[in-house]
Amino acid sequence: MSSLVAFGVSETLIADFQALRETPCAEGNKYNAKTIDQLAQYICCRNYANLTLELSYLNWAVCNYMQQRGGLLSFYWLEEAISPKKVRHAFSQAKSATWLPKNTAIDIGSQGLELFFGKQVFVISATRVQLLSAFMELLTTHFPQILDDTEAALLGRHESDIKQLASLLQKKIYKWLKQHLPTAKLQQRFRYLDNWLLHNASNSPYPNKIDDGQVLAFWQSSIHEEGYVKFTTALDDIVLHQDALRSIESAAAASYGLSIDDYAQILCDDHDALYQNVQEQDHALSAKALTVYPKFLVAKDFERLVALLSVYSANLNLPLSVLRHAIMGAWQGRIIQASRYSPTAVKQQLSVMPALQYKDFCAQLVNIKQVNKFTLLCISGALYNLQSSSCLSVLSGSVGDMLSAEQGQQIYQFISADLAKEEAKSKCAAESSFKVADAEFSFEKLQRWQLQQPALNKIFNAAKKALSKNNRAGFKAGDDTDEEQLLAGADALNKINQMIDTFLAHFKQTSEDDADTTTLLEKNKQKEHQHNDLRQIYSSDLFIFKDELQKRHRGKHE
Amino acid sequence: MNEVVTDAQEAVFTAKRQLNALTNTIKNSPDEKSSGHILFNDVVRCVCLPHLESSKQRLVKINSDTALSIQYAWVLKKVSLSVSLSQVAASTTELAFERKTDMFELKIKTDPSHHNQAYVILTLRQSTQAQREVAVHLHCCLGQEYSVVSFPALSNSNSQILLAMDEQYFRVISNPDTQIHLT
Repeated sequence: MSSLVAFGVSETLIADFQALRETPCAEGNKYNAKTIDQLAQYICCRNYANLTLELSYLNWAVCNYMQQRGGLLSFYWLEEAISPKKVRHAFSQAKSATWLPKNTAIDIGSQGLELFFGKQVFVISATRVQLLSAFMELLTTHFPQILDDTEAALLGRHESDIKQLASLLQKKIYKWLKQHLPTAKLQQRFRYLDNWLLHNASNSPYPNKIDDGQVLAFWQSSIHEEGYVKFTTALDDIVLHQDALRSIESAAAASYGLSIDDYAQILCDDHDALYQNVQEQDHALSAKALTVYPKFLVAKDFERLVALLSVYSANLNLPLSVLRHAIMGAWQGRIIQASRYSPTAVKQQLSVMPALQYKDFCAQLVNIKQVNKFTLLCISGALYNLQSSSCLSVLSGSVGDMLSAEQGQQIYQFISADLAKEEAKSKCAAESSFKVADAEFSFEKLQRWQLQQPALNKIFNAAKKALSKNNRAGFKAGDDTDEEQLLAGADALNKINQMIDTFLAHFKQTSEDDADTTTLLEKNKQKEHQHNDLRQIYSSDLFIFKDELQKRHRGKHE
Repeated sequence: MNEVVTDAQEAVFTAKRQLNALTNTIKNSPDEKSSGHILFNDVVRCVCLPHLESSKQRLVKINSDTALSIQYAWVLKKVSLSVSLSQVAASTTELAFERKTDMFELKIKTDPSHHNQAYVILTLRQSTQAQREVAVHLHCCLGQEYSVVSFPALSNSNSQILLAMDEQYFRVISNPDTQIHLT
């Protein structure tokens, strides 16, 4: 068994998901990254009962309506009729189909596919079909009989047969996933970690807010514990542990003031509710969604951000652990690689030290932030080309570099005044908050403002120029990236930049308040100081880690 | 702390850990990418678009995996327009070899000037646009092994290729035991 089993997911299932993401079709990838992330959620949360039912309804419609046109194989694979547009097209004549089972009908409505069974109606949103199709792909790969079985079970049948088939299928999936999502080891790890924290978190009541020192202590003391060889795994587990605690606590608080004990009891009885906590995870920051298409971030930069994002998304304050994860974690990775060859290779890796120091990592982050700002400008340019009024709002985090504070203020006032005027004209309610005015914002107005405010015009010219220089997938001329994708990307980049700021702020010695008064010389001094500080932390960490890594990796072959 | 609370936390922790493994596998080494893991979609592509380089590579893998070749056969059966089943052994010794189905006709004639070469001539009674403009593919199954012989686009319902007689493709297509599917 491979080491991945320790992570609770079989290699096959990981390969399945990787392959699903790379599944080709006539143009590009068949499924987008978000769809596959969503499917992964359903699977990991064992929350596939409703999905299976929905799929069975869709399959009923396909089998019965398209029986002459190749049925399931044709719909999902030959015609690949899985985008909302293609779904609508595939079923556009369904209303007049005369060959459906008695008392049933299929129609395309505003919501999507409508299936009528006597007086009952079941609606499948056209936008869900891609997800259902990815699910079907996974199932067909592992249960090859499913296509024949489904057609046999559903052709000419009624609603009760759909439900029966769905429940049968669900049982099959349950049995299959049991092999691919083994939980025993992960449960053991949770208990071990939970117990350690209970006995070692003396500074605050349990569940505590953990600090950097505790993360390191946990890793050091778990040297003989299976699964905690790597510092990165120890940190990842702690972050997830804290996240799990926090999500249950906050969900309990939100559920009509139930006590956490009562709430947990409900969760243990009701799987759907339990996993809602997991589903609500912020998936805007998923690697695949950001680094594939449109390419908002290059994979290498994302890798550098992994620890930072997981720690700060979980609202934890562990700046040193982020540094250790990035720098010492990479060092340990190389040593582990070397340990597969020879003890001498390990010795050599131990003596060459990490490739980067902490200050280099911080410099990389500053760099990533700059690149993100450029990408935001490109997003704004792309939104402008789509004539979307959101082209202005996505820039909020990055226009600071292009405009003086005065100019920014002036534009803001100008826009607010213009919108207020408009509002007064349309005799709207007297509420004049910017939010309300924001709803009235339109692209036409923006074009007018551009003529009146040269600075604003300058921004959009810069945005267009930036876009024309961007050669990444999804930003090239002719790529039809839609507004929703762009906005999600902008949101993620703004969040990432904020997290980078929060992180870097830990290593700044002076407060921002006196930033105005500091001279260039003082600023340089500050910078020097900051670096000295990071250098000190680095040297002492190096000492600790070298010792730890020697204990862990030297002598395995001796 | 109530044990039930810990149970709930543990369940969330486990699910999140597993979800991370499926959504953030970016850290794996790049050569693990496209490791040749085959989904049903790949099998369908292999049947429908056999001329692609990726399909050719996958067909090798499909041939070596029983579960996959069953899927391949299933798809092939669904999409093939016409099948010529194994022939009664009659014309094995003769080099003039002929097969006929309701939709296609296959003839093999030795090249009069080079005796180690043969023309394989395919005639279609009806044709699709792709067959007229792109290519015609014959999926051959001999024993448990699949291979694809591709012909250039039809002209006047005909297409032909020249094969060396010691070539694997020739051995397959001229073997009376071979099942030949037109897609």
